[in-house]
Amino acid sequence: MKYSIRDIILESPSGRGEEWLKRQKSLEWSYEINERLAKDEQLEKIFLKREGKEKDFLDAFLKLGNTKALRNFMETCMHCGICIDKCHMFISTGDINNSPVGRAELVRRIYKDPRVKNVDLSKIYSYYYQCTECRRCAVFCPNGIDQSEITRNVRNVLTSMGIIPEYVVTTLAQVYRVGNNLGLNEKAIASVVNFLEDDLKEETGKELRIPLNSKADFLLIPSSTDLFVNTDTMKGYTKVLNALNKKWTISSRATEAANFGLFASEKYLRDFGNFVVDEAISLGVKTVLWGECGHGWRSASNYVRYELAKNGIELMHIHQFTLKALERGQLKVDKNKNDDLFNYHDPCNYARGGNLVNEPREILKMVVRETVEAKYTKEETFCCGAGAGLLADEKNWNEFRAWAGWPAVYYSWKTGASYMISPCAIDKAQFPYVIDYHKVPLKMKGLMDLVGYALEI
Amino acid sequence: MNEISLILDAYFYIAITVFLLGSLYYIISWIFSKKGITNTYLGFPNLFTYPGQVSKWDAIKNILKRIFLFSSIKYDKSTRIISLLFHYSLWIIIFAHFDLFLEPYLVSIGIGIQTIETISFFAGNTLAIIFIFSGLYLLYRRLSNVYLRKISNIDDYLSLILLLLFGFTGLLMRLLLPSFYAYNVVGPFISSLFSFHPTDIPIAPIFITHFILACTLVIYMPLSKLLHMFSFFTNPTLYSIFHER
Repeated sequence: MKYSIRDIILESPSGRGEEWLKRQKSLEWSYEINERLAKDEQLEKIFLKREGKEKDFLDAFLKLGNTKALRNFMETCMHCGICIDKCHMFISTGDINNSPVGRAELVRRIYKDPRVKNVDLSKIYSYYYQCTECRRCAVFCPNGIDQSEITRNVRNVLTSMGIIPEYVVTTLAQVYRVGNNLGLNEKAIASVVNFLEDDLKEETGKELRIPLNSKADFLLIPSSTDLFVNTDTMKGYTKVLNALNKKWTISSRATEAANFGLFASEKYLRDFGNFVVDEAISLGVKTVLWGECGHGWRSASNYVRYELAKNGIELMHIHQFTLKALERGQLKVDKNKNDDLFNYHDPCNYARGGNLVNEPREILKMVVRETVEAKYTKEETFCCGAGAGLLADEKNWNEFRAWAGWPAVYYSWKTGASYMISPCAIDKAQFPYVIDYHKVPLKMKGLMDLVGYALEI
Repeated sequence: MNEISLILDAYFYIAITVFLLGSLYYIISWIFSKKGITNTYLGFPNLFTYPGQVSKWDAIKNILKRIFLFSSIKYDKSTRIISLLFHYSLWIIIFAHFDLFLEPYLVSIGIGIQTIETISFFAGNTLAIIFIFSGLYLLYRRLSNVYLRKISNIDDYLSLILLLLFGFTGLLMRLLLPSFYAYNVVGPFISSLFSFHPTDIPIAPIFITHFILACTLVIYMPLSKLLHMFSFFTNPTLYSIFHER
């Protein structure tokens, strides 16, 4: 039997599909690629020492295995295989270990029989850091088994043992050092802010301020890439907040909407969330506005929200905030400035982890001329293929993630839209690369970018 | 009471005990085990996967749709239809076994014996054939797909094969034994087991095989993937809305 959805590989306009399929003849293909990386001297440090740690892993995992989520997910799977072709990782690699059930089996065998001695930690490491934690499998699993939760549990153990990819660990270290993933210190942020203000003045002819570290009512938490790469998104936030005359600020100590703790372990997740909470308290804000970041919003709405509430501070997504203002008529927008066909791509963590599905759509309808829906939308959306720490810019890996992101781009391309809209920082880094690799006639933007273009100040 | 009866009666009671205790153990452990060391799912109070799942009623509707319509496998149409047939025919057949004890009551409210037995004969056989063929398709699906074969273990095959044998012996019973045998001999025997006053087991090899398979299946249930029938209301991605923060 063949999974027909995998035919989309051959439809890549780049013409690289056939060659890619040929290279997958060995089912263990993506495992090999990681082993090849491991043999590479320069990249050896990514693979921290694993030998001799098998027993530690077993003990720690079985201890964790007593929790509600793992007990359910390990014991109720009936191996129906429905999830296999729902996973973008499987679609692109054809490797059963890279499907939800295959990945779960790697640890389920240990769970079901604790006497197992030969734990293949290399294999577990490779595949558990190739899951993007997008949770699409949980939507299609008849029992609702959430592979991302198993992945988080396993990564929790691996991280505590020091087994973690370099890309994830350096990002975690940056956040501890300066408060954001890119490692921007206060000076750098101040100069970026100045640059953006000048840029905005040139663009609009008006003095639009981006207050930094000042006492305010609203604390905006942008993704650090919004300051550097996706500056149009940052300009969108600025225009909206200035048009509404709000007292707002960004903070140089919490300039990160993302939370890589979600991809590593609970401790980091809590620490990074608490950085924002502390900053919100010290600046005396009433509301924290979360910027465009998929997994960041999942950790914000499920963790930071409750910690803020303890201190009487409200959490809002910038989309919820903008939509309210648009509905009240406080913002004047001109649809004709975005005169094209737009397809909204749901970031996985908005749709399946953050309950943010309708607001972005409503905004999009108000700021553009025409929108179109793809085949798989809302909770069925495809992952970009670079979440959960897979955005790493490493050799061999780039081609892998170009294919991991192909299903999402393919279905967006098939709508006939000229723009793919995704309000997620990882998507904004991943999709342009995938689009370019596959030579698809599609452009990619964030949602607040479009609000910024359409806004009349 | 003869020796065979004694052994088989004991087997029946052991099976029921194992089933009840085993299933209860799993259900209780799924519901009452802790979320995690910090009493959260690694930092999160709940595990939604659905947008807009704001009310408890939404969550219940979602779970019921998954159980009764297999709504989550909507993109695998043939698998969905065939597994629906498989599950529904199995459950209808199991519940239809009650006509063995209910016949006297049905007759007393004015339904003729002939009517009951004719309906039972045709509906029963049709359902059994549907059950066997859909089960065989599921087995074929598992064997023909290289990926599915790779993740399947002995349990997956054993559960299916046991169920198929169970269905097949049931069908054979219907075809080989006269219908009065089921109502007048088997029915009273099963009633006697449930009322804890067991009588001698009817000596018909095909019935004994069916009976042993049924008990084996009941014992095997809490030890195998057949437990999935209890898991829908205990899975935290589906019922998370009921968690208090």
